[in-house]
Amino acid sequence: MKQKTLLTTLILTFNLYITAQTISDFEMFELDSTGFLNGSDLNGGFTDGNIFLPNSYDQTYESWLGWSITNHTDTSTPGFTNQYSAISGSGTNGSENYAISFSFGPNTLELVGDAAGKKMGGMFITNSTYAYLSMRDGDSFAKKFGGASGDDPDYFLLTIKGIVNNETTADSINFYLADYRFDDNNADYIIDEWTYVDLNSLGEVDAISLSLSSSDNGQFGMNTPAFFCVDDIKTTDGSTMVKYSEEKSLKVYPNPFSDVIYLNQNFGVLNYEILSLAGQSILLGKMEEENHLDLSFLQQGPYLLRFWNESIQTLEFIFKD
Amino acid sequence: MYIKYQFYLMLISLQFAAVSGIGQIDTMIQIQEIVFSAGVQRLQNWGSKSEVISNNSSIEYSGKDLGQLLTEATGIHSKSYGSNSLTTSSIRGGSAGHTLVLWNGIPLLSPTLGLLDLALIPNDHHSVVEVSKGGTSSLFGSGAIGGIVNLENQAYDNSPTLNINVQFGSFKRQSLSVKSDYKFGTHKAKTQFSHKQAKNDFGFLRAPNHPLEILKHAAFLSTNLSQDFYINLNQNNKLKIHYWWQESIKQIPATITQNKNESDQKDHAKRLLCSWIRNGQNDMLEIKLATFKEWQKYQDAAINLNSRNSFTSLISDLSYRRKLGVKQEILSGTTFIFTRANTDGFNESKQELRTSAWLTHRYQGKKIKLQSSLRTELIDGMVIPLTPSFGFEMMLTKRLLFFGKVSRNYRLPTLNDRYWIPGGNVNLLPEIGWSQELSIKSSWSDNSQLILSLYNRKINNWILWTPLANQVFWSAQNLSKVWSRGIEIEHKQQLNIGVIELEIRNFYNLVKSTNEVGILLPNIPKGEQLIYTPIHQLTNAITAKLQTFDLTLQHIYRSKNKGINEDIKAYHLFNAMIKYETTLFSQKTFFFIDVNNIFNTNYFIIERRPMPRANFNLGFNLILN
Repeated sequence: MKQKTLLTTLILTFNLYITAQTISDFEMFELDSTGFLNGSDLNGGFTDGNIFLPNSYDQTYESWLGWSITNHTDTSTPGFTNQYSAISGSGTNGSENYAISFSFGPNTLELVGDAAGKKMGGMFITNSTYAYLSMRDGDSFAKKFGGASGDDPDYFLLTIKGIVNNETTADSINFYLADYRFDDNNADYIIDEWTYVDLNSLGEVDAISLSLSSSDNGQFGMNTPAFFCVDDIKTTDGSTMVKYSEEKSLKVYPNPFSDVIYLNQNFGVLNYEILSLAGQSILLGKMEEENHLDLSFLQQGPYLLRFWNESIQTLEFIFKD
Repeated sequence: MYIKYQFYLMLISLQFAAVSGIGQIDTMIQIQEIVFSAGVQRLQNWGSKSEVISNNSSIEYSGKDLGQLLTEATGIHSKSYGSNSLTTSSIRGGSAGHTLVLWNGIPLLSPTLGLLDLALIPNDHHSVVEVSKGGTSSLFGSGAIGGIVNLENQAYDNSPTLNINVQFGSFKRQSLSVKSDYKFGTHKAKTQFSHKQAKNDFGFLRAPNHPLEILKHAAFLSTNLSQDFYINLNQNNKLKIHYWWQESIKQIPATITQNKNESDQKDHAKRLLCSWIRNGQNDMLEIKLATFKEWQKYQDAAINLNSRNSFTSLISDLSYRRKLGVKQEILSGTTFIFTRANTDGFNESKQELRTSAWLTHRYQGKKIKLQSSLRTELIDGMVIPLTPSFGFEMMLTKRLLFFGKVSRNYRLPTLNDRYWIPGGNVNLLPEIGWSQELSIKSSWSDNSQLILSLYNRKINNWILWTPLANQVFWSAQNLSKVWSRGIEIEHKQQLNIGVIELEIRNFYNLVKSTNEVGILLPNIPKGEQLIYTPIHQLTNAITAKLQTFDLTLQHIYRSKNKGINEDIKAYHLFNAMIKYETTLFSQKTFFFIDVNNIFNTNYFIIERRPMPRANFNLGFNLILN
């Protein structure tokens, strides 16, 4: 499954020489002692990098819908009083801030600035503590997943679709926040760690729509708490090519090459991977201080060279003479 | 399963044999005529089907709660969340808030929630329970849509008496009830104390073929104390004072789809009612003044939830009855109810003033009775539409009574419906509509009674909570319209077979109660039966009395019905009770044992809330004169 996804990505990005990305990690937000921003400032949402997370706040009832920014870390308290925590206990890689979504219907994440109308890279997603514990243990309204017998084929599904010109596209990505549909109950799972979801296959979008659905529904709609958390949202920033060329740059030369290919870059330590055009990984490694790769073992022909770290992802088409 | 149906066949065949095959004896006790509580007789509800259950002479319901009594004695469907858990009733397909529960004629329903937990009402503190089915809003106002249940305290004629009832049972169930009636001069008083506790650690099956598990965190403890004074001021003036203190703590158990629940609830109530009755030659005046102070705490340590709601009510109720010649009389009255309530859901305490006035005219001919009533009510300045009713009773033959009623009935939105944050809606209209009923009562002997009733009711502006467009929260709205209609068959018979006295009670309710407006959220298709409302409700009981022994066999059936998330399966329950009367230390004493759910049926009344399997209760009742 992973290889197929990679192949798709590769084909779609085949003609790109370099794809700089911006990561929205919400660390720019300064949170007070409450540990959350829930839209009570009535700004209507939160902007970080190339994304805008809409928020609807009701002053009368001090309630919110859409997105909030949080740094809560409580992974053990069930119920709505702990609605601002991710089950992972922090943002990605132990970072402080992350975003949490709550919505009755589809929630949206908008691309702004240079990222609007471009592909999204992906984002990390995990369950909220509220939803996780509700699915694991049940509560007064929602069932524990598996039901009384433990065999119910329950699921909690996040469906992500692109929005272009205010129209939702047909393509979608399904991400199961919990899946109890396996014949073997031991395979049942509820996501409890930050998990990367690649969004490239949605194509070029203005925004994305995020909808939750669950197998646990009653007369009052979905019983599973409609919360999930996101962090490190990667967007494609087309204009940053220029920007990066001024500030940071990455150049691979010569191309075509004979045995050795050189790298001129100032992004720091980079992971790299040589792939065949079919998407098969040939060589995987990390470049720390060295500035070249000895590729003399490769046969003549075209290859893909991928570099990435926490601030950049590139894909180069290279050719060995 | 086979044994279960053998039992049922035995119960039915015993009844059939009793009714058809055996001659009846003239000296048998007559089925009592319904006599409602004294006073202005506002509860005398001509045209409606009514029943009076005495707690004074019976130990049958001691130790049980009001929900159990209503099911066993009247066939009313009680919706219980589990043993000693929240219990409400559904009369003729109405909601929990459509049964108006009264205490000596004063409404007991919580003004914030609009309902009363029947599991918290012990049967030991009231002399009689008066049940009237059908709409009675023209006399009692808000909530009297499905019917009314009045808990009446009366002085016991045979005072002084000390009545001690002690029971032990399964799941560490213990109860003690002490009642003392005494006289001082021409005055009477009654002191009643009851305590009940249970761990409710019964076994249940989470799913078919699963091992038996023990229910945890389901303990219940309730203590009640009441004091009544009946003071004869003079020949024409009486003063009645009732005080009722109650406190209960209950743990809320987990559902079968929940690993654990750590929440518990504490309820506390103090109620004082003073009533003065003046009897004239042709008239009667009754003035009641009451104050209720109640609070409820709900806490769930696991989710850091600690909520409290409380209310204080001041009530004055005046009713007057005057005879107009031999055949006619008028009754009239006014009621003021002032309530102040505080909950965590309000941003400040809320108060409400209800003012109502009603007028009734009665005509009693030789073979016909007619009753017409009209009520008006103001709630915080808002006028409730006039609510009239008309009832009649016609004696077709000596043993055939035809009666019926047309009435307009309503239920006001609760304080939570109006003021809860978020979602309360101050613009809510009352649930209101018309109901009609017709009954025929046949008494083919002095000891038999068969009542067939048909009813029809439509309630508009049914209040539901729903999310509106662009709203973050759910809010109360007048969304639906509910059409309830059905058939009730009630059969009672007393007869003798040799030395055995038999008493038979059968209740069958066919209840069709459907939403007439399709709603998206909550998802209620048009024409769908209300949740937790079985279409077929059957209760049968037969008591055989042989000298000092009584054996009662009881069967309860509820058909499949719909819950919020899943269907509730149909179930049959079989219970038995043996009672033995003897004399101990020259005092009348009863020993008894109940065996409930004899066939270990796994059943649910509310989805995911298991009910107890086979269990027993044994005890004694000592009456000291």
